Amino acid sequence: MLGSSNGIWRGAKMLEQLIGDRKIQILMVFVTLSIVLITFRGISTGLDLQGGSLIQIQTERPLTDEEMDRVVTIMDERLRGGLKVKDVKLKPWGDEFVLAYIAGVDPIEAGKLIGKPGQLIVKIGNMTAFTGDELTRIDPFGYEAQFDNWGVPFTIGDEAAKRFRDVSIATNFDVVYMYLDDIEVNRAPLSSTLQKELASGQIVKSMVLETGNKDEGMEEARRIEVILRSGALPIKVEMVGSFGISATLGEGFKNDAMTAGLLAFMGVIAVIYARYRRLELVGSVLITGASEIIIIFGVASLIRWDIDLPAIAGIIAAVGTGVDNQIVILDEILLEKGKSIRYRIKNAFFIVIGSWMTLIAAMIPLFVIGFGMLKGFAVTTMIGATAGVFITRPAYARMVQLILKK
Amino acid sequence: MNFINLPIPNLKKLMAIPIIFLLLSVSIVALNLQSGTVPLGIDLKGGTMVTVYGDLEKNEIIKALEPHFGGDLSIDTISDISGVAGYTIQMDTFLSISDKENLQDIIVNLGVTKDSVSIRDAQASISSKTLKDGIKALIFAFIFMALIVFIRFRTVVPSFAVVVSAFSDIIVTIAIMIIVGIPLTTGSLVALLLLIGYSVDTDILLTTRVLVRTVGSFEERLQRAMKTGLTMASTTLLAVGILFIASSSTVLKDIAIVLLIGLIVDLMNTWIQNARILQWHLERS
Repeated sequence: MLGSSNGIWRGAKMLEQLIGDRKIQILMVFVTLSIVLITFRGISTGLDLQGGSLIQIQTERPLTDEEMDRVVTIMDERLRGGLKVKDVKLKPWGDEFVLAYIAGVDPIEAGKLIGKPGQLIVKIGNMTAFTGDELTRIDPFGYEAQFDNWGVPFTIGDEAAKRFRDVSIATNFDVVYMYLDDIEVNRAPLSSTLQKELASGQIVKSMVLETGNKDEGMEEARRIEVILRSGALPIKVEMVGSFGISATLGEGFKNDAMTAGLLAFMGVIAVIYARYRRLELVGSVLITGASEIIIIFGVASLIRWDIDLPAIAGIIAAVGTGVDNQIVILDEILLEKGKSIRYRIKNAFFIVIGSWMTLIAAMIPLFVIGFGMLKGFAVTTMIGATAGVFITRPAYARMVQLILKK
Repeated sequence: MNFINLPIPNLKKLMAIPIIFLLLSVSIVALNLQSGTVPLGIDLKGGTMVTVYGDLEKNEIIKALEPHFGGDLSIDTISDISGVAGYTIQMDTFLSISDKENLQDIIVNLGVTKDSVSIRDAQASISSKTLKDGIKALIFAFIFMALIVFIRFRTVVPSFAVVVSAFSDIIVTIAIMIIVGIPLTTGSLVALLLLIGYSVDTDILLTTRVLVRTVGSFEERLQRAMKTGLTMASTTLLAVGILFIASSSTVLKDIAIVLLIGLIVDLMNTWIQNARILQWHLERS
C-alpha cells in the first residue's frame, strides 16, 4: 500500500516537473493551437481523397505571362459554367502547361469541355455570318414569359450585323448554325419578325438566341451563354493528360491510408518496446509522434494546404524519420556513457539537426519544381521535420531525461 | 531484441561487396539508359492506365478489352491485406475522349460500378516534362545534400564517404528496380528523394559516433552506432513494409516498395562501405 501510493506520488511529481518545463510547455502550446485550428478552420482534402479530376492542358506554344493569364481565366469560366461546379482550381505549370483541378467531376466529362480552343462560328446555311470575336456583348440568359422560352441575348458589331443581313438574304433565310470548334452546338431558324426586318434591309445588332422551354430550355440557354462568353482562346490548347478518381474510391483510399499509417505506427511502437522494454519510453515516443501529426495537420489547416495521398505519405515519412531521431537521442543518452546528460543531448542534436537539414535540402527541389501531383509530399515532410527539430524533439529529450532520472 | 553480440567483421575486404554492387549497378543503369529500356510508368512515358477495384477475373478483363485495344495491354494485380483488391491495366496509347469513354463502358459492363474505375493518362509531351522535372529535382536534391554534408563535417574524406554512400543507395536501388521490373513513376521518384535524406541520416549517425566520440575503440564505437542504426532501420523497414502491404493506392505502394529496397541497400552502404572508409581514414591519420 505504501509502495503504490509512493509510486503515485512520484508519478505526480514527474508530471509536475513535466508541465513545469519550458520546452514541454512550448510543445503543449503548439499542439493546442493546432487542435484549435483543425477544429475551427478545418482541413481540406485533395482530389484523390474527395473525388474529382486533374486535367493537364498544353498550349500550342510557350506563352507570355499575359497570354497565360487570359487562357487560365477563359478556361476557368468555361469549366465553372459548363460543368456547373464551383470547386475548380487552375494553375499554370511552366509556360505551356495548365493544370486544372476539378472536384466531383469525372475527367471524361471535363475533357469534353476543356480541350477546345472555343472558336465560335455562326453560319446561315453554309455561309459564315460572324465569328466569336465579333460579339460585342452577351447578356445573362433569361426566360421570356411571353413566348414561354429561354434565351440568351447578345449583340454583334456593325460589320458583323451587315454581313448577317446579307448572308441571310443570300441564303434565302436558311437555318442559323452555331459551331464551336467545327462541332455544331446549336441550330435555330430565323424568326419571322427578324426575317421581315432583315428583308427590308435593316441592320439588326441585338438578337436573342432562343433555346426552348422547361428545364431543357434552361440548360441549353446556360450552355449557350458559356459558349458565347468564354469566346475564343487566344491560342490552341490540347488536353495532354488526365487523372480521375471517384468520391467512393477517394473515401476508400483515405480510410486505407489511415489504417496503414496507424498499423505502421503500432509496428514501430512494438519495435521500440522490444528494444527498450520500458513503457514510459514507449509512451514518450507515442506522445511525440502524435504531437507531430497534430502539428502537421494544424499547419496544413493554417496555410490551407489540401491533404492528398502524397501528403499523407509525407506525414508518414516525417513521423518515421521523427522516430529515428528519437532513437538517436535515446541511444545517445543510454549508450554514450562518460559525459554529462546535457552534453550527450547536445551531441544527439548535432545528428538530429544534420538530418533535418539534409531532409529539407532533399525536399526543396520537389517543392519548387512541384512535379506531378506530389508537391504535398514535400510540404508535409518539411512541416513535420521542422516541427520535430524545433518543438517536439526538444520536448521529447526533456521527457526522456525525466524518465531516466527516476 | 538484442544487438550487442552482433558479429562485426573486422575485415576491410568486406568493402568489395558494396563496390561490386555499385559497379554492377552503374553498368546496369548506364546500359539500360543507353538502350532506353528503363521501365517507366505511364505518368513518365505516356499512355493510359486504368485502375479498377472490385471482384473481377483477370481473364475476363483481357477477353473484353483485347478486341478493341489490341495486344498493347498489360494487366497487373493490386493486393492489400484482404487479398486481390483490383487490377491496373496499362497501354502505351493515349486515347481520345470517345475511346476512353468506350474503355470505361467495357469495364463497367464486366460488372463493376463506374465509381470503382479510375483512369490516368498522359501524352508524351507532358510525361517527358514530368520525367525531366523529376530528374532535375533528384539532381538538385543531391547537390544541396552534398553541400550541407560538406558544410556540416568540414573534412573531406568523411563528407565524401557520405555523399558516395547516398549515390550508391540511389544507383543500386534503381538497378534493382530495373532488374525486378519495377517501373519508375512519380511516386518512386519521390521515394528516391526521400532515400537521399534517409541515407544521409544513417551516415551522419555513423560518422558522428565514430569520428566525434572518443570513448572506446573503433569497433566498439561502430558497434554502438550500429545498434542505434539497426533499431532505426528496423522501425522504418517495418513501417514501410506495412504501408506497402496494407495500402491499396498505387501511389503509396510505389513509394513504399522503392523505400523498402533503398533501406536495405542503405544498410550495406552505411554499415559496410561507409564504416570501412571511415576505418581506413582513421588509421591513415
